[in-house]
Amino acid sequence: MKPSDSSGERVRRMPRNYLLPMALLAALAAPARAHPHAWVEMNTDLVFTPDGLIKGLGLIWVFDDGYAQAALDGLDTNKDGDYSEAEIAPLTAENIKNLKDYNYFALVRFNNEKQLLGEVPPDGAKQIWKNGKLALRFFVPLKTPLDPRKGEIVAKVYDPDYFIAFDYAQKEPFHITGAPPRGCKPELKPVPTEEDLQQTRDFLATKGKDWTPPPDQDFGEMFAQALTIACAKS
Amino acid sequence: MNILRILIAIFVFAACFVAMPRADQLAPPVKIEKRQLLVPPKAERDAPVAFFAGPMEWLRVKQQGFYGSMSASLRQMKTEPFGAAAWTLMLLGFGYGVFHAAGPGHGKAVISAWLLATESELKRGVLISFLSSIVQALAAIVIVTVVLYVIGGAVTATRAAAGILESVSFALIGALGLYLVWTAFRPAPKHDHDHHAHDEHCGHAHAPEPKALSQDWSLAKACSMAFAIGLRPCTGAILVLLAAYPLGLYWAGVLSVFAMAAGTFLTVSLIAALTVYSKHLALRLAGSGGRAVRWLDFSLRFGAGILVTFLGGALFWASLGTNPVPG
Repeated sequence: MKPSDSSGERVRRMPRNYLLPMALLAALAAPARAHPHAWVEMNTDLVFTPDGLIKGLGLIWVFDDGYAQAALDGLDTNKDGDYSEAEIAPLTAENIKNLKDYNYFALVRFNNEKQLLGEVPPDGAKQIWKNGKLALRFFVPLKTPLDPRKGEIVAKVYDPDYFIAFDYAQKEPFHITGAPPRGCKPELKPVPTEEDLQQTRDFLATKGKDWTPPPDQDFGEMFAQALTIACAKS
Repeated sequence: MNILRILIAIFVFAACFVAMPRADQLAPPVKIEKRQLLVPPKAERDAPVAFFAGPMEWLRVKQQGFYGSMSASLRQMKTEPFGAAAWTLMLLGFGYGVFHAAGPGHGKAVISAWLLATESELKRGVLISFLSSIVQALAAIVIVTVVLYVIGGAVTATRAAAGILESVSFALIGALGLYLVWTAFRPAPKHDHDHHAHDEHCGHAHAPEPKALSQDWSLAKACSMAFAIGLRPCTGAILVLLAAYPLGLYWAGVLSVFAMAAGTFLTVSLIAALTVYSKHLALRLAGSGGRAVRWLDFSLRFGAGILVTFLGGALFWASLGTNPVPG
């Protein structure tokens, strides 16, 4: 199943060929990049209430070594050669505070409607340094819990400016906490296939050069991998 | 009982004394630097940095933009190693080099000071720029390659290695400064009329050819100079290599580091040219009489020598005390 839109106005996926020019464009358009580029390998946790509603996303981000190095610099305050959770905490708090400005790079749509996300409290996040990897873990609540039986839920984690590259982990890209409704199964949509790409190319070919995506959508969303929940019709 | 009380009292007292300074040490104000953040506050991220508002910040931001785009190209190359992304990566590397070299850095200061003091020929200045750019690229490649492939060590080891090389580089720069000071006091080489003995331009009415002053040129010296500066690897180069490695595109990382070196070379050559020509100008202005020229030569050597010694010494000292902060 492809993320589709009945109006047909919505682009399905961006071909990879557009990715680089777009990243460059983003670099030129927004010159203030006061942070290092980072790559994130992620695992998303779908958290259910006891009655089967999704109440939010647990996000686990494992950072690339380059960012981890820059981030941890000087944080080994007791000089024991290790970064304890407490030592990283000041950085974690700062990051979580700033991530709010970006809606935690998380997007949830319910029947194509953008959903509001709650705020992560400053102590609601943990950063752990283990086996030479830095991982951030936090829970983003939905303002209103969603019932997967009543509509299509699509969750995406991505940076529209592509300065943090989010990729699902190969092994265990997502997991479930709590009780999903009977017959409902989360599914991670695959990265675009050649066929998808051709569709997008055809679609874009019908548009002028000045075409931009609809206002509530950005280019980044079009090629972010979607996590959905499919429920058997009963 | 009394003894016990006294002991407890002493213990509490002592504990207070021990704990008092500890309390300060336990809660050191941890300052989170901007570059440590995953994302800056949005307002900050979106605010464009105008060139005139702060040229250095502007350069830094440009540099980071290049790095971000390079990482993106690398990722793109994962799917298509020999596509357009490969060329883009090289161009970006070149651009990064240009901006990196234009940014703040001791390397440029040392090269300019050295050239100002000893050099008056452009092509040598350019050669020194070339050598130091190449050495810098090689230093990054050697460190990362050795750590990743030979030692198979953790990536954090590269930082330690880079830190050591950095300290060594600073120490060598300090030594260069001392050498310059020494050349200032060294008896003037008896060359003034050897080369131009019967040259009619060598009369008092004309300035001596600036060439006459550049007697301490040797390839060995140029190499040591390039070595001292270039030994401190460029952080951007290390980052790109580390980024390329897990993608299985290490070779692309290496190529882009050479592209960076080319960019650095371009900028540093321009700086070298400016330096050499300002020296020419100074020599012409000091023109009449060998005495003024000799005095100028002495003060340039002495001044530059002191400057470079202090720069190298201060950086070396700082690099020993703290974690080397690559920049």
